[in-house]
Amino acid sequence: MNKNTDINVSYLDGEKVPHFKSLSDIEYERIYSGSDGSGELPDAGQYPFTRGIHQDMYRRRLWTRRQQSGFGSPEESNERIKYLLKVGQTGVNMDTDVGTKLGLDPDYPLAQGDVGLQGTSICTYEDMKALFKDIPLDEVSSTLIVQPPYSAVIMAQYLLLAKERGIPWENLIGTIMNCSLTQLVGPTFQSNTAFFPIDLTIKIGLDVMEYLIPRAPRWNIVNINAYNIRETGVNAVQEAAFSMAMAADYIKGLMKRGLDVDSFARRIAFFSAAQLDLFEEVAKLRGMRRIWARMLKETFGAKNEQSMWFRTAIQTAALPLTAQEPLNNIVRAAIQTLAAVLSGTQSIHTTGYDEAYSLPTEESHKLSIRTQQIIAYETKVVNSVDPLGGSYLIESLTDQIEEQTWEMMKVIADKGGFIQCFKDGWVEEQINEARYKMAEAIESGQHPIVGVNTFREQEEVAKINIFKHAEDMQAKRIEYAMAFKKNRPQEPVKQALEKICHLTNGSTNLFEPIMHAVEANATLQEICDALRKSADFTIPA
Amino acid sequence: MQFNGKKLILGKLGLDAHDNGLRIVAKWLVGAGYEVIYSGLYNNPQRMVQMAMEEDVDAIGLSFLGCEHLYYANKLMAELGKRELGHLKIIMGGVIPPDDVATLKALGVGLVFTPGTPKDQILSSIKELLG
Amino acid sequence: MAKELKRSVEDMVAGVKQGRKRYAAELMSVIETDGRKAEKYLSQFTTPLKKAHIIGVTGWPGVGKSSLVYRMARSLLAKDKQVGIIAIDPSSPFSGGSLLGDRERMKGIDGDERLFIRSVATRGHVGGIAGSSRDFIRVMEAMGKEIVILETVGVGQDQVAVTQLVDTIILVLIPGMGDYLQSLKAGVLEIGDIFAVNKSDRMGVNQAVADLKNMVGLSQHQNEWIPPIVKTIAINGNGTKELMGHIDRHRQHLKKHGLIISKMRSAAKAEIIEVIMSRCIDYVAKAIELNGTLDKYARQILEGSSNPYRAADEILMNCGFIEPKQSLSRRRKVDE
Repeated sequence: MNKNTDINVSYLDGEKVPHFKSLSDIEYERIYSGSDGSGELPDAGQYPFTRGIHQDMYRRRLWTRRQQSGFGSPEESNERIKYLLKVGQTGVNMDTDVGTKLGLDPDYPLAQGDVGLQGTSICTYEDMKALFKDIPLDEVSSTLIVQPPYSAVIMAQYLLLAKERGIPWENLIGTIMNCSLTQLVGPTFQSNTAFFPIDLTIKIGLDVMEYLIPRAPRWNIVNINAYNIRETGVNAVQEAAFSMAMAADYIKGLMKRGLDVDSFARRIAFFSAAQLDLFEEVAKLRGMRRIWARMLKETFGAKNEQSMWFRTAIQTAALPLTAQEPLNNIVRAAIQTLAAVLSGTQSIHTTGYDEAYSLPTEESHKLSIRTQQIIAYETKVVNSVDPLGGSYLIESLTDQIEEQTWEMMKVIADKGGFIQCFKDGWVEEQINEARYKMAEAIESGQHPIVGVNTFREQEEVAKINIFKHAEDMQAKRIEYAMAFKKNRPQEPVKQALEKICHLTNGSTNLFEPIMHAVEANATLQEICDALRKSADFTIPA
Repeated sequence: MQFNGKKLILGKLGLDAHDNGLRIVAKWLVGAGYEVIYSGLYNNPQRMVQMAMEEDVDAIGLSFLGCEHLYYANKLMAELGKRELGHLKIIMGGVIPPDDVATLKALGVGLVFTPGTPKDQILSSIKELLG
Repeated sequence: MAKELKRSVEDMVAGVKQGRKRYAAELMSVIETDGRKAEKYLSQFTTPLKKAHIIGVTGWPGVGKSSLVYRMARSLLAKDKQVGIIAIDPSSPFSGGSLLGDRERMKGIDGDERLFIRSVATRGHVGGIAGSSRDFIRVMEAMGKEIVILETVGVGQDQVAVTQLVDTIILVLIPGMGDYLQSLKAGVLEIGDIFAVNKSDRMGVNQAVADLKNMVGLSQHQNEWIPPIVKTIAINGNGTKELMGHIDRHRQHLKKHGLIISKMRSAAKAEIIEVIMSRCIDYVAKAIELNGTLDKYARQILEGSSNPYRAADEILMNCGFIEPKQSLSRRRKVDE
């Protein structure tokens, strides 16, 4: 480790990187030649879509610039959405706070300290209205980052909002993330099951999908959350295999309900990470496109080509971003964004350079969008489809990652599928192993991070503007939630919640009863508590 | 080597589930001869102080990744005062902006670690704090 | 951590007997760090005897002991019982530190007034229990706890030590341990009064139960208690009711056959021996410079000019434990 700023003469000698492995431990060859790679490739837009799902890709239409945003109250978040659209964002992406993500109202004691800090606090239908004020729901696509079972409440709020504005649901464009096994931070199993029983979570996730499929044909029913998987520290192969296996479980779940695969598969999309190993990330996405196409066609018998399109939203991975020398993160995020573009993604969120400190300031948010715009308009990499295709290295890596991913998918299938693996603790084991390996690699320097374990300078304090929440934001939200619950007609709420209680343990689709409860002015937690009560489930106090 | 005579309880307050850093520090402390009671996620300040009392620890270690550190520091110090456990040392780590470090220390927090603090520094600071 | 107790013996004893957690916690720290000092408090608690039902929960790491203990405690609290939990984890033989992680599983009950949880590291003590375990149980009984659950580090043969401390032992296993079970020597499974096959929603559970039935059938059991096998899923509570039922039955069984009294008698005798041995060592250490003396004798033994028995005799002679004449005549007898 280099801890001082004196000249280190050994560098004048010729420095070397510690090894030639990819971030997923694949050994890079000294040089790749014609004997690597699998030969002729079909065109983009042709099965199995290795080179892209559309023939013209970015020549016809650039990827969507979709920065996540959200903090504090819905009103504040609405301001930020409008700002982002003004500076060139082309899609809305709203992230909820931890309490909302766990089905808790702002006034719940354990939730109070976290209200609005990591995303928007949403609790009532009024909140949804405030969040999307002045935003034309049928002209700009929106991604709602919320998971089952809470996704049912949020989606219901959104649909009611569209109805109120006279927008037919068939015209709504966007996505509800709706991926059951997403809380992968921390002790994986515990954080996914501490606030809601897992089987009911999965069931409600499928309920939401089933409800939307015939009614909102332009709306994505799920974003398989490969990003959260990758952020735990697992490698590209694990990211691909886990997410594909999870998608397979959802597909099976929907087919078990009697749905034809072609009626919904084109509305399944992914949410992936773009890490710093640029070539590997490009190969990963190309491999995933091939895998998805084959899986849908051969395993699930899809006939419609659109069902075989692998579509993904990418966030540049936050994991490699550092608190030390935060401006370095601008470079990292730019390269990751480039990787995402070269790999042919449908939308990108470029993580802010201040990620290690707080939510993005307006300044850092704008810079993220500018990063994407510069790549789009100034670098010319969008001029041809799949520009790295045909490179010996890329084709070889694509093949390798694809092969390893299929292998791991088989292991998971043999163990009963991803959801079963998750319940059995196998997923948590893999994640913990990866976390431990990463920590070791960072400690030893085998995984160099500039400014942290390599080229580190003496203690310097980061001099950047750090986002600060409004001082009274939490108090105001808590007050709002309490007042709202007090000042409404209570009878309709009670009845709607009772109805939910009765239906919880059967096989009835719960979406409509939940929507009625939202209409009756029940809050997010009240609805979730009704579900929890029927499942005899207690949450931490 | 032998147990070095000092016990800590480590945990997180509130809803945030990012415990990677906390687990790693717990491991380092165990490797340095401390007994570490690991209480994991979803604790509230009252419960944390109660556990610290039952286990008769020397210090409480908390990690914050979501900007909630000031809110909880206030609540925790108030609870410690109420229970006459002011002698307990408080250690905080995580995503804490440099500006807030002084505020936390003024509240009575003994040590604040910002991201990327190397292992050796964390261990030596804790050793100094606990004696 | 309280090493010096600022409270008087009377205060401390009274506080613990009132069930005050803070007092008990401080006393436990003294017990762990300075056994001798703790004696003057502990001697106040041995009479009159307030016997709790002591339940040992043991098993290989990862079988879900903590989660099961959580379910058991929850069930007892629902019946308004006073409960104590002593959660034991191993100390690292290299660093001396210990990760005590059982609290993680106790969310939802750990604020309860009626429940006292204490995490303990083994600190080099063998047998999966901590040296202070018996005294901790004593403190909890003095606090008025009706049930004390001792959760131990359970791996095979060294679990036998637990049997002396507890009344009912629950051995926890999970499906898929078939090979491990086969490799166990006799005497290990015998200690189980109740077997819990946890994570019973996993594949192989029926095989696990069958394997257990075979092994349990092969071993001897005292007083016709046939250890029941119960399937549990600790994370959602399945099987808890059945498990608690078996624990109750076992307690009745022990009472019926007078086993509790006889065990308490043996335990009392064993404890006296222990205290005698500890006093002796203390006395010897005070009388001579023990470390230096041991060094000297060790050198002699390695040189071949002495042996351990002679060394011990000489030390005891120097401390006044035995008469010089006696040791000489013993040696002559051996030579003959």
